[in-house]
Amino acid sequence: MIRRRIRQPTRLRSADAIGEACTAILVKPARAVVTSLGTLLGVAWFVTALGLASTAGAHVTSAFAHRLPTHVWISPKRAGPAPAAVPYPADVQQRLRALHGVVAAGFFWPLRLGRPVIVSARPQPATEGSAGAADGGTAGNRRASGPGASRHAPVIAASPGFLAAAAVQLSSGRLFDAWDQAHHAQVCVAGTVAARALGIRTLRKQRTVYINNVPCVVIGIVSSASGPQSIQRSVVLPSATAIALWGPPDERAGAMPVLLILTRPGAAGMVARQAPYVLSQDRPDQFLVRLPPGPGALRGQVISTLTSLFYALGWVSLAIGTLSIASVTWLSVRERSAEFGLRRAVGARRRHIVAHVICESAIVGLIGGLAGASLGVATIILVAHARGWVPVVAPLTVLPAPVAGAAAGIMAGIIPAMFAARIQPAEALTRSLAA
Amino acid sequence: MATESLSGRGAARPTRALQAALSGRGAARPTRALERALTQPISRPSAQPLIELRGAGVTYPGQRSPALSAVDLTVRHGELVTLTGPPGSGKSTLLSLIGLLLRPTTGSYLLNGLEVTTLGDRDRTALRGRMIGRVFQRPQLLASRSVLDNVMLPVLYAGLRRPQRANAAAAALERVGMAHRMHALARELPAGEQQRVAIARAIAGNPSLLLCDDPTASLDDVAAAQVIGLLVSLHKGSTTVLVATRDQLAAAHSSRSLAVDRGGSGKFAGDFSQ
Repeated sequence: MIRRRIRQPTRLRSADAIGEACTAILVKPARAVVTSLGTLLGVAWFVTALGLASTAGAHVTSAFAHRLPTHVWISPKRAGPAPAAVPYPADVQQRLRALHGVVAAGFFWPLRLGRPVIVSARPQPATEGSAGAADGGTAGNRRASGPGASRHAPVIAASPGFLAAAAVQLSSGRLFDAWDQAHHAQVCVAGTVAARALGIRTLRKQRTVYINNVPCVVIGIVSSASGPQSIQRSVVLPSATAIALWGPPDERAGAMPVLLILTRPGAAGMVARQAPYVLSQDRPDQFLVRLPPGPGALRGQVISTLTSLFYALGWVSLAIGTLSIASVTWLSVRERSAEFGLRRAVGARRRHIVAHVICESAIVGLIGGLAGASLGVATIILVAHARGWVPVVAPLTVLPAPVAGAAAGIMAGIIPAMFAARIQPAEALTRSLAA
Repeated sequence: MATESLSGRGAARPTRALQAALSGRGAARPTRALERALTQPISRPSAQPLIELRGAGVTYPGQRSPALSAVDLTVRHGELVTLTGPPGSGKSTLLSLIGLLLRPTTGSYLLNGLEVTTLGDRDRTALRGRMIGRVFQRPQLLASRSVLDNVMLPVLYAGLRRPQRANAAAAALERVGMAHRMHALARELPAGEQQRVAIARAIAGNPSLLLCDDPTASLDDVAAAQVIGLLVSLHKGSTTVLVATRDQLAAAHSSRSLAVDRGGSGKFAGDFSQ
């Protein structure tokens, strides 16, 4: 037993190394606090910077999201002779609604008959239709202010889904729906400008407008709409009614049925890629898809610039924190050379001294890292609160922060530890043991 | 050398030869020799000397004249040897050499029959930690740590768990009569008690060799007498004790007293006072 006991090299349990390091730190808590201050600030800055970057990034993203395109426009490419009717499947609205991210979809075309389309509040004498064609819009506009005026107003034929896709809001009345569409009801929805021009302010009593002398009951007045700019100036009637009255859209007259899809913010790009396949699985390329350009690229640049700037500053401050631990540990090791000499004399191997010193600096770094992470999170919350942002902190920024502090401490401890391990006990013990 | 040949240990020869061969070609560790050296029953006196210096000298790097030159010294198990001599005569250097804190720059040193001059740091540290206890001129306690913590320090590196360490330390404190101050901070104790704690620290690991470098220098007479009494009682408990001292009382209790003069130029041989 004696043989074994003495032959064994001396050893230091890792728990004991940590314990000794902790005790050594606790003996001089003020020094530990001052030492860890550098790391604390470094880590705090790192966490704050990254957290604020993600918070600001999330804020910027949500700010940009309001500007993201939400409309997708699809029109058939001109291919040969005019199709007999609307070039979309009959259930196009249902098919598109099944796509993820689609809120509403519908098609429309401007009513063009190869002659002016006259919209008026009263029936017009049959001859005036052709007479008005010569002087065009100016005459129509001049008379537009008077009630009962006839107008050279755009007329839009649209499926009920189009009104939803254009996010049409009404000031009074109702939208036309599938029933109106199915029964070719002679009804229409008038844009704000068109309604005012036709002398219609309220629908308290039934109002009728005449489109080329065909009566249509005005069932709704638009207050706001997105999508085609012309809605406010136009009269919109069900597409089936328009086909029943005037035939299918005449492509040669420029009346091209266009699909309008309203998507959720951010989904427009995906919908734009998928929609042609929904419309025609065998020939998706016969459709032309238009997507208003979004601010996505700009947003990406802004965020990545911010983040890399914050990162750089974080690294710099962490490096400063590491240097501060290194210098204080160095001084502390020099001051305690007699203690390390004593430890060597009573059986500590060089590696035990190295472990001891690195444990000390790692613990100081860890303390700095923990305190810094807390301080950083607190700062993020305060700043976000002050700016009215929602604080967004990724766990991946906060959780490694104490580890980063400890790593900084370990790096900081390496050189002082090597120094401590080279202390000659005989020489060091001629000095008095400090503290 | 004479004692070697008288001992009649035939088996020792091949091992020694093996060791020489090993160290001759710069091999790492003379394992079997180390083993044999350490299996010597160190608690009972034997023909094998505990310490055997042969022409050992130390010259500090960067200095021309040696701090210790060509010392021949043999100490047997269970002896209490005092080293006397004027300050700067090399007593401390000699104790550092014996205590494996210094390597001799000339000559050789056999500890319990093992050539330790060429041993690696790992083994020298192991021998230092497990065989040797030491007391310095100043108590050299960690002032902000408790008495118990200080005494536990050597056993820490023996790899014992904390409860066992505390037991060993408490037993050592008991032996020096300081168990009642176990939980006091080291700096709160008077100098004499601090030195007794330092002795407790030195014996906590049950070393077979205790080296004391002028342990009574900073103490008043009463405290000094207590410390000397303690060392004498440890010696009677079969620990080999080397004391460098100017204290006459210590010299009076010792089995022999060796005078070291400047440069330690080999005045040791057979310098018995008793």
